[in-house]
Amino acid sequence: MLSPIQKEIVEQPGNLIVRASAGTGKTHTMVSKIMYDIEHQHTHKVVAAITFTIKAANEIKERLTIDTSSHFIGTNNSFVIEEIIKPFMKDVFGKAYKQDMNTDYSVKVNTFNEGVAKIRDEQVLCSYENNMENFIFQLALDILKKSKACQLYLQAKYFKIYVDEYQDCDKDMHALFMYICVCLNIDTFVVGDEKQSIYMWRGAYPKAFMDIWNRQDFSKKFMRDNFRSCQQIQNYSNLLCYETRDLYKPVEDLSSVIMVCATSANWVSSVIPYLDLHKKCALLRYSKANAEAGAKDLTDRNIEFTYIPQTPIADITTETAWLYNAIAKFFILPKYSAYDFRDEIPNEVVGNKRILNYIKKSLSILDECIKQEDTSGFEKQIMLMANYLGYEAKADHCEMLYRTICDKRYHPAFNIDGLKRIAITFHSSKGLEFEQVILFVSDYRLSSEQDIYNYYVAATRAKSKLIMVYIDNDWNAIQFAKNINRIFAESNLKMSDVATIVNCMCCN
Amino acid sequence: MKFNSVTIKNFRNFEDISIDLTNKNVLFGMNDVGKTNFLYALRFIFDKEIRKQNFNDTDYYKKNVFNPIEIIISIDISDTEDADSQKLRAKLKGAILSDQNIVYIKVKADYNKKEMVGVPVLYWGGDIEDLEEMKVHGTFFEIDYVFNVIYIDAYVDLYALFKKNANTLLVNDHEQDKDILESIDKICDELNAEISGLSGIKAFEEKIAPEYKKFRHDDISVSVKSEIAVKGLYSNIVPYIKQETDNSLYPTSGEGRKKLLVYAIFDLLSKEEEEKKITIFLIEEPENHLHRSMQIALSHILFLDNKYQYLFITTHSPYVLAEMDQINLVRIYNEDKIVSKSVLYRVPTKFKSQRKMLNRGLVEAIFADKVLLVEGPSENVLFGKVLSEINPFYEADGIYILPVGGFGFKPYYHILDALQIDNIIKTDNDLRKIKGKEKYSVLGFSRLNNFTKKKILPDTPIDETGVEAKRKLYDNNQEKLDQIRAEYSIYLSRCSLEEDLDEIIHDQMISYLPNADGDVIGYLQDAKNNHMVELVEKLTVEDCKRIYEHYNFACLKEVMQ
Repeated sequence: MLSPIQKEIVEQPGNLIVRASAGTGKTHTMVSKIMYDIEHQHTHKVVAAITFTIKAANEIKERLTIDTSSHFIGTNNSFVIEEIIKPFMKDVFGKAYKQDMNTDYSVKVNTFNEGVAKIRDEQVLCSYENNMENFIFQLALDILKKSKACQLYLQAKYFKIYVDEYQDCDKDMHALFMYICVCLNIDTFVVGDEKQSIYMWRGAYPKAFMDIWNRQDFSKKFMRDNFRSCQQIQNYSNLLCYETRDLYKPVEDLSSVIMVCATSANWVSSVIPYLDLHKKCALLRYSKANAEAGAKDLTDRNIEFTYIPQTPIADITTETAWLYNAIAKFFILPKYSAYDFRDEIPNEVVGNKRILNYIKKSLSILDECIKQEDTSGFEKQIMLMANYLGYEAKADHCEMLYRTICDKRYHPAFNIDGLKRIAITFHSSKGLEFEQVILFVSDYRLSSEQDIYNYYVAATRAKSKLIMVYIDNDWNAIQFAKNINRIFAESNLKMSDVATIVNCMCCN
Repeated sequence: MKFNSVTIKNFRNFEDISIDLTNKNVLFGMNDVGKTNFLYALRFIFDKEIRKQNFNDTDYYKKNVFNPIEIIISIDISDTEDADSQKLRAKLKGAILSDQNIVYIKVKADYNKKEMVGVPVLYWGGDIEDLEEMKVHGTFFEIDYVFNVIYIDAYVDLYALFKKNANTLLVNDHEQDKDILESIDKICDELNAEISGLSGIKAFEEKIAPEYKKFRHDDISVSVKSEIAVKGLYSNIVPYIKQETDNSLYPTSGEGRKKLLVYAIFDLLSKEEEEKKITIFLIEEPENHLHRSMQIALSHILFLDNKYQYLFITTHSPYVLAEMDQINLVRIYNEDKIVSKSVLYRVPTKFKSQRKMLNRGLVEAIFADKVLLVEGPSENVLFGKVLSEINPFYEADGIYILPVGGFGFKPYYHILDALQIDNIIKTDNDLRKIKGKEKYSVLGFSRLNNFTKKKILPDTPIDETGVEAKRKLYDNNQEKLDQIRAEYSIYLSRCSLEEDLDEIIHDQMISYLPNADGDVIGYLQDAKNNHMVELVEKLTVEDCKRIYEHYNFACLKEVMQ
C-alpha cells in the first residue's frame, strides 16, 4: 500500500530527490520504486541501489520480491571499489594495477599519491588520515573521469542509480554521484533527510543533499507524514527542526513522551513504571560501553535487555562480505537453511541443484571444523567455497568469521528482530524502529546542528513511547535542558507542553 | 555488435583454421568436412549445456591431447550505442580498456589424463595477448548471462522440444486459471476412477501383482492410471494443427509441418530472452524435410527477418540461400587438411530488385568444385549436352555450368574466386560501333583486360566489323589469348558461340536444322534458346566429341580435368 505522495514518487520518471522525514516509509517507498522501475524497463540494463550499510542493503534485497541477482545492491564503498576501482584502475594507472586489492581502512595516508602507491605496492585500498576527505571516492572519480571504458561500462550496465541516506554522503561521494548523473546521463534517485545526518564527524556533508534539492534537473518530493510514531512523538521531534515545526498538532495526552528525572543510581527503578513489558523496547546510548552497562543495569533488575555488539565481520567490506554473513547466519540462526544461503548468492541462478549440493556439503564440513575447533580446516573450506562461487576469501576475514560464530556474545546481532528488549548504540539503531525507546538526554547536548540531528534520529526510533532519562546534576544533561528549552521557546512552547515530566526536582 | 572472426585449433577435424565472420554466416561444403564440428566449436563457447559435457580425447585433432584445444572468437563492439554491444560491455567490465574495440572470447581446454577429459576454461577481454579468465558462478560463466544460444538440429524432435519448454510456453497465471486447473485435477481423478472401473483394467491389476511377487516379495499392488494424473497436465498435451476450413484436428505428423512448428516455437522462446540477452541462432541443414517452396520461404525469413540477426547456418540446399544478401559465405573444404575460405556476399545495389534471379545461379555454383561461367542459356544448353555425353555424371563430380545472363561475369567470378572455387570463363569476341564514328571498340578484348586486371590485349578500336574482322583480330592476338587461357582460365570465342560451332560441324547443322534454309548461324542467333535446343536434341556422340576436342571449345576440356 502506498500513500498518495509515495505513489507519486514511485511513478515519477527521471532524476528525483526525495526528502523523507523519519518514519515516513522511506525504505518501503524506495523498494516499491525500484520494483516499479525494473518492471517498466525492457532492456538488459539493471539498477544500482546504494546504501551506507550492508544491513540496509540486505533489507532492500529482502524486501524486493523480484530476482535481484543481476542488479547491484550494496554499499557505497563496494559500489565504487567493485564497479570502478578494481576493474578500471589499470586502464588509467597502467598494468601495475592489474591485481587484486584488499580494503583496509585502518591503513592511513595523507595524500592521494600515497594512497595510489599503497595500492601498487601493497594492494591495499586505504583511507586518509583526515576523515573529512574520502580517498576511495576521490580515486574512483579520478578513474571514472579518465577511463572511457569505465564510463561506457556504467552506461551500458545501469539505467538508474538509487542512493539511500544521501545526507550522509561526504563531498567526495556527492561529486562522484553527480558525475554519474550529469556527465554519464544515468538517471539518479536520491533519498535522505538532512535532519537525520549523524555522520558529520566523519565528513558527511548534508549541504550536498540540499544542493541537489535546488537543482533544476531533479524532480523534488517531500515525505513528511510519519507513519511510525504516534502523534505526540511526531510533535516532539518535529519541533526540533525548523523545516518541520509547522507540522506540530497539539494533543491532550502527553503520556507517550516521558522525561524521567533520576540519578545514575536509581534510573532503572524510575524508568520501570513506564515500561510496557509486553512491547518491544530499545535502550539507545551513544557509546558501546554505556549501552552494554545499561543492559546490565536493567537485566540486574530482572528486566532482561540484550546488548547488541558490533560483530567482527561487520567491518568486512569486500565483495565476499555476503558470504561471511551468510555462513554466520547459517550457524547462528536456527531457521536459516542451505536454501536461504543459496538465495543470497549474488548473480546465482535459482534452482541450480549442483550448487545447492555443494553448499550443503561445504556447510557440513564447516560444521565439523567448528566442532573439532579446527580453525585451519575451517579457513581452508571457506577459501574453497569462496573460490567455487567465484569469490575470494581472506585468512583474516575467515578468522573474524570464526570468532563471530564461536563467540555467543555476537549472536544477538543476527537476531535483533527476535529479541524483545535490546540495548544498542544509536548509530546502529539507524533505520530500525521500536515500540518503546529509552534514551539518555546527557548523550545529546544539542549545542551543534549535528547533535540536534542525532537527537532527532534517536527520538524518532520510537513508535508509541519515548522515555528520556535526565540524570540530575549531570553537566551534559544541564546543557541539554538549556538548549531544548531554547529550541521549544522558538515555537513559544515549554517542555511541559510537549512531554510528561516525572520526578523533576526543579519542577516539583 | 559485429562478429569478426573465429579461430579453431586442435579441435576435431580442424588442425588450425581461421575464418572471417559477419553476423549472418552460411557454411557449406561436402559431407564430412566439419560443418557440424564448426557449429560445435561455437557451441563450446556460447552454450553452457555443451560446455558441461567437457572435451573427450576424440575431440582433440587426431587425438593430439598434448596440445590444448583453443577456440577464439572476436567480436567488434565499437558501436557503443548498439544495445548488443552494451550487453557485452555490461558484463566485460574492466576486461576491455579504453582504446580497445574488439572483444576476444576464448575457450581453452588442456587434456587431463587422469580424469580423461579436457575441461573448458573461458577467457575474454580486449587484448588477445592478455585475456582475463572469465568468472564462473557454479556452472554459469559470465558469458551465459549475455548470450542465449538457440541450436536447431537438422532432425529436431518437435514433441521433445515442446515438452521440455512447456512450462515457459504455457503460462497459466491468470486468476481464473486456478479454478480451471482445480477442475482439471478433479476431472483427472474422475477419469482415473472410471479407468479403474473397467473390467479389463481390474483383471490386469489383479493378475499382475501375483506375477510380480514371483520375482520379488514386496508388498505392492499395481494400478493402471492415465499419465496425466500422475505426471501432471503438461506431460500429456501436444500441439495439433487445425485447418481454418475444417473442424477436425490433424496430428502434426508431416515432417515438414513439424519442422515449421519447431521454428515457430524457437521464435517464441527467443522472444522470452531477446530484451535481456543476445540470441545467436545455430541452424543445421534447415532444408531437411522441407519442400522446395518451404525452403525458399524459410530463406526469406532467415535472411530478411531481423530476428535472425546473428546466424550461423549449415546447408546443402541452394533454395535455402535463395534470398541471401549481406551474408558471409564460408566454404569449408579438404585439401591436405581442412581449410576454409569465406567472402562477404552483398547483392550489388543495381541488382537489388533482382536479388532472387542473381542468386539463382550463384547458389548452385557455390556447391560445385568447378564452375564454367558462360554468357547465356544457349551456351548452357550446348555445353550441358556435350559434357553429359563425355561424362554423364559431370554434375555429380562437382562441375556446374553457370549462365551469367544480364548480370555479367563479375558478380559471380568475384565470389567464386574468393571461395577458391575453380572457375572458367567463356565469353564472346564482341565488337561495338562507336557512336558517330566508323570505328568499332574491341569489347571482348577490353573485357578480358578488365578480368585479368592487366592490359595484355590491345584495346584500340578497329575500322571493320563482322565475322572476318573478329577472326582476324583473334588470330592476330592468338598467342596472347592462349596465354590468358593458360594463366587465367578465360576463353574468348573466336567470334561467337554459333560461328565457332559452325566452324566445327557446319554440314551436320545444315542437316539437323532443316527450317534454317541453309543459314544455320542466323537461325540459331534468331531465337537463341529454342533453336539451340532443337539442334542439341540432334547432336550425336560423335558431334559432341568433335566439339569437345576442338580448339574453339577447349574450355570444356579444362572444366572436365
